[in-house]
Formats: sequence, structure tokens, C-alpha cells
Amino acid sequence: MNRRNLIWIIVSFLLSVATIFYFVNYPGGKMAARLLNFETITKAYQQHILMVFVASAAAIIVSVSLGILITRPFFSKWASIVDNIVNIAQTIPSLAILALFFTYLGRGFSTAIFALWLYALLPILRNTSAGIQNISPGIIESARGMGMSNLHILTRIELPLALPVIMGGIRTSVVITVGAAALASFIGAGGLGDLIVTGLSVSRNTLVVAGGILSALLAIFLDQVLDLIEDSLRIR
Amino acid sequence: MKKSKILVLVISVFLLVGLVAGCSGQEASQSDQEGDTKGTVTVGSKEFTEQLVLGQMTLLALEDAGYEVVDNTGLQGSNVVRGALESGEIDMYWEYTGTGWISYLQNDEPLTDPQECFDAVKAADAENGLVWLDYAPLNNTYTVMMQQEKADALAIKSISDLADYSNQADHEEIVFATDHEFSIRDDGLVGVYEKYGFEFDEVATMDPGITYDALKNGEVQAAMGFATDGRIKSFNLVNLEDDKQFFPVYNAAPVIRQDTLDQSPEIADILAPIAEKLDDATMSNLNYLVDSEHKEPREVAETWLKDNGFIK
Amino acid sequence: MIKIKYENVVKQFPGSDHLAVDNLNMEVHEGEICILVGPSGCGKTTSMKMTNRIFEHTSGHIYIDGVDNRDINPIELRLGIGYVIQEIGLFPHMTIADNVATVLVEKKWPKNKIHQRVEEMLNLVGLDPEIYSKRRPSGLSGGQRQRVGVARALASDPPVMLMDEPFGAVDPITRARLQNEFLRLQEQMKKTIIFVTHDIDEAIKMGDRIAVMRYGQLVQYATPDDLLSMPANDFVSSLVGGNRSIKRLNLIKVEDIDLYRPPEVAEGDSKTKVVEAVAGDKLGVALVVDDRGKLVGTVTNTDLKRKGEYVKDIYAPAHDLVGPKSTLRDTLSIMLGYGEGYALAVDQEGKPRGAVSVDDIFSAVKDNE
Repeated sequence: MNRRNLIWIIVSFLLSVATIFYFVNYPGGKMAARLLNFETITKAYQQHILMVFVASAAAIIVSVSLGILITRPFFSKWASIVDNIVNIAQTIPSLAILALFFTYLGRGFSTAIFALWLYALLPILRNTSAGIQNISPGIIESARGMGMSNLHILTRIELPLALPVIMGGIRTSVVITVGAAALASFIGAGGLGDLIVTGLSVSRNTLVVAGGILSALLAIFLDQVLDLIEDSLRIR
Repeated sequence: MKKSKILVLVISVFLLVGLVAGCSGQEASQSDQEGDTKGTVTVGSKEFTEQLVLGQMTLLALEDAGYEVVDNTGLQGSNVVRGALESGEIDMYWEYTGTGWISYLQNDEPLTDPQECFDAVKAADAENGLVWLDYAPLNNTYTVMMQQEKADALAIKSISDLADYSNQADHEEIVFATDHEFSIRDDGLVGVYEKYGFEFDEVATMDPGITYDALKNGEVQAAMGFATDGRIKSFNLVNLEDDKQFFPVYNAAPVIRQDTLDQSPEIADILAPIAEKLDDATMSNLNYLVDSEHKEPREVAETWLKDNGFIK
Repeated sequence: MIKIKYENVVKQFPGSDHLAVDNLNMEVHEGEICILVGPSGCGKTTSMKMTNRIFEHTSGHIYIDGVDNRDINPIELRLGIGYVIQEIGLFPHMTIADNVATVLVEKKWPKNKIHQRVEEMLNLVGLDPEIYSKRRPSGLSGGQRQRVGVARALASDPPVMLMDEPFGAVDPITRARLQNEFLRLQEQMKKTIIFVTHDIDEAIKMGDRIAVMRYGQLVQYATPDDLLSMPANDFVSSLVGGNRSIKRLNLIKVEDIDLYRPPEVAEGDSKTKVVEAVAGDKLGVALVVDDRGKLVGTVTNTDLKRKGEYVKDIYAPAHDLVGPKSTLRDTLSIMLGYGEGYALAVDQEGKPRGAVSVDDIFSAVKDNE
């Protein structure tokens, strides 16, 4: 168990709690207090985490599968096409993606999840395919030469070896998603973005700062948790 | 505090510029008078659809009455237009009573009675050499909207009706779409709750541009919007009457320089019947024609003026 | 007995306009090491990799035990063929034990049997399982990694092995040691081995038969002796190179020559006895053996100057011995390394076989020609 991760996890957690307590006690005015109370913050937090969790989980499943698929010799000609599509998706600003999906899927949670999911795909997909492609061909060849089936080469050689790279992609993606989820507030999906956007619209800095700090701490927290998971997944 | 200081500074600068420009403006209009019987009127407007339509209406009506007109519509931002009026760069434009009251006259408490607000700004601006002509019923303020069909089915016409319905034990869930600002302000949702004595079952906060879509698609049952937005008509939505006059009023009225009016007092009589005809639904429809049917503001204004017999 | 047979084998890679392997016809006998040698790009590695269908040949047939290898499921085929490639291809995320167990796991051996077998294999290649089985490849030296590669390929006791420069990535001294150990193993295992190298010295030392390849074609297929004495053409001559007598040293093993036996003394013998023995020996050395007959050291005139009543007090410990399978070339390097006029040979149990002197080497080369 990595001590540095653990310290960050504990520190970011405690800082989040402290932030909440501070702003609930010093909301900076009656108006800001309408959002800076335990009930509202807890709800925003829950919505935020749920969005990040569902979007990231879906992105991991799809991107890792896709990444595996496009590294199979059979599908290799699709690799650049898939890569390009996902690349283009990434270049669209996240707010535009949200707006786009709002038009077709309506407001709220599921739209936000879908948009965040799309946005979260690329780092994981790219790292999965890169992680697998960068394995020394000699290793794969010697596995094949010893009679390993393709499935075993994937599960016993390629995935374990690519795991650190894949996890790197997942971490990047989750951190991006925590940030992008704040924008989901624009389409009525709630989350910590409610604090930030409302604060901006009525010039109440406590709201903006509270929302910003909490989502930043959430990103740090999740990043470190994932790092810890990566460590424990890696066979020592 | 800081903001209002900046505002004062900006306005002072405009006034100063206006003073200098005003002199030359007067000279210009004097010389105009010599060459032409009815003189030249420069009409301005802000940059959004409704303002462009109102500006074109004014231009068309004055032209029809035999004035030389200069089109200076589409200026960016309220302060720029107001500054242009004060400096004499433009002679008139349409302003909202609430905007005049809060932004230009620096009042903090909004007024919710149309006549009271109009009288207040008219009186105050008289000292600035500006005249507020008769205001239109169109009130571009916050509104609470529902789908027309739904409102009819539940026999809801006003916010009071909605409050009564929401307070029934077995009512259908009402989710309210609002932008972030309205959701938290005293004179927004919080005030509505207090004034009308009810609460929505759930509030969904979102970008102001998409509350209309959310309501149209039935994802929410009520939404805030701006009363004369074109989408209200095109999405088949309805404004619930603010029967307790909670929302600050933003009636549109032509504001004209005193000197221009002195030279052509007839202008007031030309615009009065037009203003009288412009209510929320009418304006919403005109906005809709521009925004959704992609017609030119001038074309829309001309058609409407002709249909109502204001011009030939 | 013919174990592997290449019949009109052609390989053309997609998108390439020349043949990587051009009509290869070759028979590999059971229990022999067949060396494929030639410059890079000559088709030697391709030929080897077609054997277990890592590459599929374009036309022709490859028979293993008379069965066309295309009629065998590739997985089955490969499970029956040991495989060691350049840079070894150890799996960096697995322990040494897991690496060695790879094929056994694929063959679904029971766990305890695998464990036992892995220990056996590590011992076989001279790695203490206690120390190494839980380590990862990154924690091993180059030579140790090569040993693991060999252990892994041998684990399921496949009758056929394919080896692509298995001792390529280590220094010459380690390489020579690994080669010797491998030959010693092969002595007992009698595997049929296809062994790729670009090093003609290694080919001559290791091979029972050598296939020289160039431009995808088999230039000459002969025993090392024939290759040296009767090169098929100029290319083979130049490949074999000038110092053929020195190369021949690689062909002659210690066991092939008559060894002179210096006198032996036991550890417990008195100094007087050993003084006599040394004095009476033509090389001026007496061999010291322990009670099980293993060679533990030597006594020369220098050692006799030391104080002590018994042999065990004065003898110099034995170092860098040669075995029966050591080539005369290795023996010569050891001699030169120590500046002695002889090297000591022991058998597999470590019992003294005798001494090889420079004169012995000279006469052996002469006789052989």
C-alpha cells in the first residue's frame, strides 16, 4: 500500500469536509446560504459523484473493449478510423457536447452522463491501444510460440502489461470528467456546477469558490484512489 | 457598491461626451429644419430581436408620416444606446421601464406596478432632457410558463392558480426549470414562493436558453422564461399571469430627446397607438417570426404595421 | 530417424517482391542440433518460425514426425515445441516461477506438479529455486535470464526445440558457459533442436549439422567437420573464415583426446607424500581429491613452500576446470587466462580426468586434419 496515495486521499477528504463546514458557517450572505447548506451541498455532491461514476464506468467498459478490439490484427485497419472519431469527439468543447445532446436527449442526468461518457472515452481508448501496442513484440511472440491461445495472450500477457498505461488513461479521464461534470449544471443535471454557475450569475464568490474547491478536491481524491487501485492490481 | 461606482463613471463620461456632441447635434437639427419641413429623426435600438423589431417599427412609422429617418439600430448593450441618446447621437429608442429604473436611475428596489414604474422613470428622466412616451403593455420580464395544453387541462391561468394546484394533496408532480440566477435571487424563485405561498416539487437549474425546450419536451411541467420570447409562441407555451404583481415590470416605451419632441410633438401621437397594441403575445409572435421563421426584422415590422393599419 | 522435414518450403511475405525463404529442402534428424546460420536477412529465422507456424509458409510442406504441420492445430503444435527467442521474451510482470510454468499452465497441469516441475527445471539450469523463483526477470542478470528462457522452453519436456540466438545477449565468457551447460544438458535430453545463430563459431561448437543460408536459399547442409573441410562455395568459405585450424578447436572436445593424468593425493595425506608426487610429475603438479574422489585443488612447487603438515593445509583450490564436453578452444582460453601450460579436466561428478596441455592441443589439431 502506497503511503503517499493514502495521505493524499485522507488530506483531500478532510479538506473537503472542512470546506463544507467553513462555507456552511460563512456562506457570505443570505442568498449564497440558500445553496451553502449541508442538505444542498450533499445533494450536489451526490449528483456530481454519480455522474462521474456512471460516465467513467461506462467509458472504461467501452474504451477498454474498443482498445482491445482495435489492437487485434483482424481489426487493425479500423484502428485509425475509431481513433479519429474519438479524437474528433474530444475536440468538441464539452459544453458544446452537452448542448448537442440536450437537443436530442433533453435535459438532465442521462444527457449529462451520455455527454460526459463520450468525452471520457478518448484518454482511456488511446492509452489502452497504446499500452497494448507498446508491449515488446518479442514478448507476444514468445507467448504465441509457447502455445498460448489468443485469449490467454490477452488476459495473461497483454492486459497485465498494459495495465499501468490503461490506468493512467482512466485517471486522466476521471479527472477530466470531474471537471466537465460541473458544466452539466447548464442542462439541469445538478452537481457541484450548480454552486459555481449560480455563484457566477449572481456574483457570489463564496459559491464559486466552494464549488471550485470541492470539485478540485474530488478530482484529487479520485485520482489517488485510482492510483491505489492500480497498485493493488499490479502483481508484485 | 463597486459596480455602481463604475456605472456612475461610465455615465458621467457619456454625459460629458454627450454635452459636447449635443451642441453640434443641435446645430445639425437646426439646419435640417431649414431644409425640410418635418426634420430628420435618428432611431436607435439594442442588439436583440425584440429591439430590432421595435426600432424598425419606429423607423417605418415615422417615414410613413413624412420624416427623414436615420437607422442607427442594433447598438451593442443598454449603456451604449442610453449614452447615444443622452449625447444626441440618436434621437430616440425603445427602453424598458424596469431597466430605466434600476440601471440608469440607480434604484435598488424593483417596482412591480407598470404605471407606478413608468411614472417614476418619466418623472426622473425629465430632468435629463428625456421623455418617456406612452408605454406598451408588453412586459419583457421574468415569466412562469407552462405548456398551453397542460395549463388548459388543469385550468391554470395565473401563478395563483398554479400555487393552488400545487398545494392540492393529489396534484401531479410539477418540476420547474429555471436558470441559476432566478433560482437563488430574492426577487426570483424565493420571492415567488413567498408571495404566492407554494413550492414546486422539484427545481431543475439550467442554462436560461434551454428552459423553453425542456418545457416544450415535457421534461419539466413549468419553467421560467422571458415574457416576450419568440419561443413561447412557437413552442405553444403560455405565460401564467403574475396576478399578484410580483415580478418587476419591464414595459417597453419609446424614449425620446426633449428637444426632438419639441420640434416634432407629432411623434408622440404617431407612436402611442402602436405602443398600445403591443402586448406580450403580439411581441412574442413578432420575435418568433424573426427567430424561428428567419424573417428580417424590417419585414416583420412592416407587415405588422400594415396589417394593423398604422402605415399604408 | 528424421524428425523434421522441410519439403520445397517457400515463404514470401505480403507486400514483398522477393522470397524470404526460397525452396528449402532439409531434413533434421532426431536428437540432433541443427544450426541455421547465415547473414541477417538470409531466411534462417523465418525458416525456424515456420516450423511452429509463427509464420505460415507460402508453399511447400513441413513435416514433424511425418505429419504436415498444417494439419496440426497451431496451439497444439506449439505446446509440443520448446521455444526460445532472441532477447528471450520473458514476461516481465510474472515471477521466474510463473515464467517457467507458462507452458505447463497452458497444458493445464495440476498446481503441485507444476511447482515441483518448476523447481526441477530451475535446478537443471543452475538457478536456486529458493532464491530465484519469486523474483522477476528484471531482478536477474542477462545470463540468468537466458537460463530461465531455456528452463521455460524445456519445462514440458518437448521433443523438439526452436532456439533463436538464445545466448545472443550476453558477454562472451557467460555465453561460452551457457553453451557448455546446454551441450551437457543436450547430452542427456537428446532433443531435436533447430538453433538459429549468425555466429559461425557458435554454429561449429553447438551443431551436429549446420545449414548455411543466404538469400533465402540453403547453400550447404553438412556436419561442422565437413563444412570446415569441404565448404561448398566461396560464400561458405568466407563465412567459415580464415583461421580454420582455430575454428577446428571448436570441434574437438576434451573427451575426444587422450589425457595425461598427473598423480593424485588425498586431502589428508602428509606433506612428504605430496613433495614426492610433485617432484615426479612432468607437469610438476599433484591433484588433490576429497574423500569422495572429487577434485578440490592442486599442489605445485609454489604451494610446497607453505607451512603445514598435511596436504589440506597447503593446496591451492581448483578453479576453471574443463569438462569432457568442453571444446579445445575453451580449454585453450582457460590456459591462456591462467598462464599455466595446462588445464585440468573433470568428469560430470567432478572427479579428475586428467590434464590438457598445449602440446595435446597442437597434436589433436594436427591429427584431426
